[in-house]
Amino acid sequence: MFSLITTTLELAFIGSLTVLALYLSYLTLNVCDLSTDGCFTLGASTAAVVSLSGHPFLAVPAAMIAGILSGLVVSVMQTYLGINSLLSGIILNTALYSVNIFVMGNTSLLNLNKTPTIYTAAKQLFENSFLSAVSFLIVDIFFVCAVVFFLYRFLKTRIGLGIRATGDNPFMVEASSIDPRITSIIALCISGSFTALSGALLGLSQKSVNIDIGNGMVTIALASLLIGRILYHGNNHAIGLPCCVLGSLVFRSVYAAALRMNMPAYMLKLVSACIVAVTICVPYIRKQLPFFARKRVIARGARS
Amino acid sequence: MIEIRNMTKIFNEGTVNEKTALDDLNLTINDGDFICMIGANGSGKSTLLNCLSGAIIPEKGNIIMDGKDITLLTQHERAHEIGHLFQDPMAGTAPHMTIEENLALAAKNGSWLSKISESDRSFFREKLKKLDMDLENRLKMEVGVLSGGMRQALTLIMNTIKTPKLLLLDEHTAALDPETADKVLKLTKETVDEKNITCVMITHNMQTAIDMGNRLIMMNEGKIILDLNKEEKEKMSIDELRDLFRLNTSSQLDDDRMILL
Repeated sequence: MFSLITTTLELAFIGSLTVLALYLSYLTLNVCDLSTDGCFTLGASTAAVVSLSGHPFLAVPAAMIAGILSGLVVSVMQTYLGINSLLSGIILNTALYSVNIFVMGNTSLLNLNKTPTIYTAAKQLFENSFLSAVSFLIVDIFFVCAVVFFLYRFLKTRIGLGIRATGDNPFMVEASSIDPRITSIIALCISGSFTALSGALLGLSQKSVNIDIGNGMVTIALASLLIGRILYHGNNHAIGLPCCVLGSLVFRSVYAAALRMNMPAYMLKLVSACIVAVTICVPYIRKQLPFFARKRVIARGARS
Repeated sequence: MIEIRNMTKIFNEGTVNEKTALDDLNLTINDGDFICMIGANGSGKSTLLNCLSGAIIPEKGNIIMDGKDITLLTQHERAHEIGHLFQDPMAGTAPHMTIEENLALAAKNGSWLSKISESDRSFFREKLKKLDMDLENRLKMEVGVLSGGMRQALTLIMNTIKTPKLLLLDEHTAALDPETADKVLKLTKETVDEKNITCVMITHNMQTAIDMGNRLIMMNEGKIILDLNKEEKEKMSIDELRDLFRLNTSSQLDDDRMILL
């Protein structure tokens, strides 16, 4: 039971970093960045390769830089090359499959069982204290807090306001002498770095990276984000950002509970897809219902 | 001083829908001018303003602002010198951001990584007080919940918070109720007078066109057909102006929708 809880927490915290990345790209900038899956795997493979080469502490920054590059490519495609945002995400995602195998050294599976990583370092650090059993969670929580704090501060700066306005009214951004292309690029680079960080931590904590590690990540993260938005739907980032982490926790708890009730593990992606579809369509259908009700009343009246 | 030289803009060139919106147009806007611009729908008034603000790039011709050719500059590159207000009161503000955040984007105080400071806030309050709409006590309110008139007044403040060299007003009061429209118009006049901003205003209200500003321009089919200075304008009555309008646009009067008040 203890391990079930810690695993759930771990997956929730690591996954919440991708949710926070989407908070910036999907919610704030209003761009659906479908390169998330590939970027997640890129972060995982980069971190694994750097750890394997004997630099456990360089692994995380290296993965984040790879994520920034990925964000740079997808945003330049959208802004300067005139490719539709959905399409540029799909294109980059396809390209990243090859890139990721190249990064991993011509293989689709890397094993980190005996490799020193930031998690093994944390384990050593807390070896004799009461925290030794949850040392890996401390690493995750550290990164989640750092990212939440960063985003909270960043969205209040002038450049952060520019990014928010780009998602809200791009025309008004231009009228404020800000180039919306630049704000889009900055936002997607930052969001890419968080997605890659999320992938890196998952790979390192699982002690193995496989080319499929990021598959469906964008849907899972969107599901968590939407749950987070149900919990809080305002524009105060001090509440909105932690609620995204909470959304990720809720999602993973529901999933863990379903697993306990013998739902097969392969159902995860179906469940997350349903959560996303249902959360998005419910407000729309709710709005349509009174309309249909009135239509039926009118139809009945016409018949009688 | 702004000079527009031989400017031509053609929409849908080479198709059956080809439309010459601006036809070899020349205009000199002197510093401190307040130009009221009238003309039928489709006469090229808005296109001219959009060319000045950079939203549309003309096919031919040049725009020279204080000796510098700005014809090909993008909108955001000239936005710090040119303000632009539209008929749609929603166009100039970000609805999901607060009043102070909108103002901070326009004011551009401090570095890119700086936050809104207390001195910024008191500066914003002072600016908003002039509107007399009680917005100064609602800095943290989202702009989306404000009325159209309030949003247009806020847009005016945002566009003039850093004094622009040129202010473009594209029927900016047309979507407001008469009372609010008068208020925003009065506010516009005060702001422009106070800072001596060069201004071009499109209006369909002949009385406004005669009363406001020091110059009146009438456009038709992409050309300036009348350019009156202050004295000539003051001698003009609404009826005379309307007759002039009819005379010059008689060929297309029948099929053109016109709003003449």
